[in-house]
Amino acid sequence: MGLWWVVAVTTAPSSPAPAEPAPAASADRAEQPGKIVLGPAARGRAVIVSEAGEVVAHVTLVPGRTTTVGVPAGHYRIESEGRRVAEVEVGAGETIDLARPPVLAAPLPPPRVDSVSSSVSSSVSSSVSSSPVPATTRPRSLAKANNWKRVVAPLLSAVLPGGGQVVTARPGRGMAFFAGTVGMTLGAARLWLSGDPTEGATRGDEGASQAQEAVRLGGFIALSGAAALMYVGQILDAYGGAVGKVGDGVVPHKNHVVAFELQRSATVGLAPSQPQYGQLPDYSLAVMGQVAPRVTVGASDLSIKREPDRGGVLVQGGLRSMYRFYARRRLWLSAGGGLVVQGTSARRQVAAVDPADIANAPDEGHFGAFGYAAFDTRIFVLDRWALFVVPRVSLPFTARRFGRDRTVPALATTFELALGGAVHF
Amino acid sequence: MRRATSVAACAALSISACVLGFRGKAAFTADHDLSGVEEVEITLPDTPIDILGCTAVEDDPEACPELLSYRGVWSSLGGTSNKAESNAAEPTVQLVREGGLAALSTVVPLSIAGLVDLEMGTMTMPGDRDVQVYGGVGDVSVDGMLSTVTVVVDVGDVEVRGANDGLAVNTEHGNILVFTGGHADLRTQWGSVDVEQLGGARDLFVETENGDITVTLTDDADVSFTIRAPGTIRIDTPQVTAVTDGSFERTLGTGSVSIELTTDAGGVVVRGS
Repeated sequence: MGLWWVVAVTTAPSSPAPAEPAPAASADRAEQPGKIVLGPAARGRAVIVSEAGEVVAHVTLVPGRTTTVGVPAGHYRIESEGRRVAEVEVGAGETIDLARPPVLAAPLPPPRVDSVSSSVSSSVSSSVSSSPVPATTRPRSLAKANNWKRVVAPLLSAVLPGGGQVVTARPGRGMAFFAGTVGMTLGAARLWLSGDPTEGATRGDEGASQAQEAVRLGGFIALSGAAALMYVGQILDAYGGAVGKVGDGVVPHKNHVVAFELQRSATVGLAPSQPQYGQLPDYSLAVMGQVAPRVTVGASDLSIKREPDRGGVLVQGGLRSMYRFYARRRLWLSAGGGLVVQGTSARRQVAAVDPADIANAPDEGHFGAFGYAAFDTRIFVLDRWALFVVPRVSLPFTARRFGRDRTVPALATTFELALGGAVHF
Repeated sequence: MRRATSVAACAALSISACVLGFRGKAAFTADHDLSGVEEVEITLPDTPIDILGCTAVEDDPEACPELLSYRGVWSSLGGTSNKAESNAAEPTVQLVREGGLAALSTVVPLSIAGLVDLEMGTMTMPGDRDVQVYGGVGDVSVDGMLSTVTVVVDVGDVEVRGANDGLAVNTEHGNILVFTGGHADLRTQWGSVDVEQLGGARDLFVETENGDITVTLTDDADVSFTIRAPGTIRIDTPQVTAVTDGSFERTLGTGSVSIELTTDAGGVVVRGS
């Protein structure tokens, strides 16, 4: 972020105070600054965002007062409470008067400029007015002109990581996302393919060293998870860029009622013999309700897994409670824990000559349960959308099954790394 | 310093992903009566499998008893060392019989599925029984079984000596080495195939998706060759000498013995013994 410059914040009767000329930054677009006039009927908080997605000013508006923001010529978006209320094109020396956005409804204290920050130079002033200020030029909404970016940018990022950022005029960010996503995906693939599929096949073969195998699988878990997070994150970021929701423009939805979460927790587990380690992934859903400020409780670790070798199925679900002890800007930190139960029903193994007897063997069941403590680090990419990393330590009270005959024994302390995404409503 | 070390250790542990547990083992041996049994079907989980066929000696019944004998070890995991040991003792290897057919397989309760692993030792049985082997990950070696042999395995090299009444091998990932006097059908998706025919010429079908094929023939008098390979094809038998690539087809004599060799990535060598 560049240097922000406040020329004046004044309170005066009648017509808007003249804006001071902006300095010569962005000289290519604004030899002479333009003005955006907010009010006098508008109320609430408003954010002015440049075409490049940079927040030019945070402004608090009060009825009966006008606020004038001097800006270089260019395209700007005015948002309030996370919603776009207008888009304007400000020409050099032009004044755009925005008439009372209806969403700015709550009565607020006297007008003030909360923050003014941008690489784009701007000036702000406010005044009291009993009548609408005559506009010197026409207000013009260009929402339609940029609507296509809201759709195209995330779609393009989904196909080509970083592509959406290029569309929203942030090529450097796009290149970084592309390099990061592709690099980590290739790294994860390299680690996965470096495993020897024949390990354990030959009698007496010691296979790869334990440390080597554990590091390989741990690295795969971390890299593949990070690649997935970056992939999803850059799609959301592309949308954010298209609607001007980037950086400090993102306001986490603290007062959400419910959050839906999708996560993959994974660990490197011991195997009974060669190979001596295996990856134990657990994909699950959670529905978390905010029952009190900072406190969430909900159904978690919901999943259904197959046991193909035994023709069975595993159903899992649990209860989780978290307390959010830190929330600054886009970062939330929470701690808590949960209890998970799981039930498996699968065909009993029997010894028989006739394959039909094996296929028609009766089912057997297995009940499992484990508890865990977790530390949730959550970063909001959009107002409602967040990505999270959750290290957690769990203790299985019985054998814990991951499906496909992958199991952690009872009482085996397990350190897991969960990564995922959440949407808050 | 100590505090910093503790904090670093806790931080490393908290972001690592691992399971803390214990290992256990339980050894076992078994002898199953095979009198009256003509065919033995062996289905085992991931483990190397070695089968040794013995030949009966007229005056010495002890030399080759009518038994299927083996030993092995169950390896296991547990949250405690005692639990690991008890888990290792739970699974079983069972043989059931029905008429002239016997089936050997494992029974692992669902409660410990994924917590135990079998390492089977060498199995011995009379060499005149037909044998079918089905495995997961593990090399398979069958030596001295003179009747029909079938081997199907997911991952692992397969080596067969014998199978004079016929041989079928299918492995997804592994090399195949065969010395046989019988007809043979050998397939691998990823690996080379090396076959040496013993006695007279027999039908031979070999297919690999990625590997070389080497065949040694004792007789090429009435052989029909059908060979396809992107690499070099070399034929050096008493009646044929050729070097080519792509494909090779030739019928010698009556052509009553089919030699069909196909590799999707590799070369083929056929030679006389």
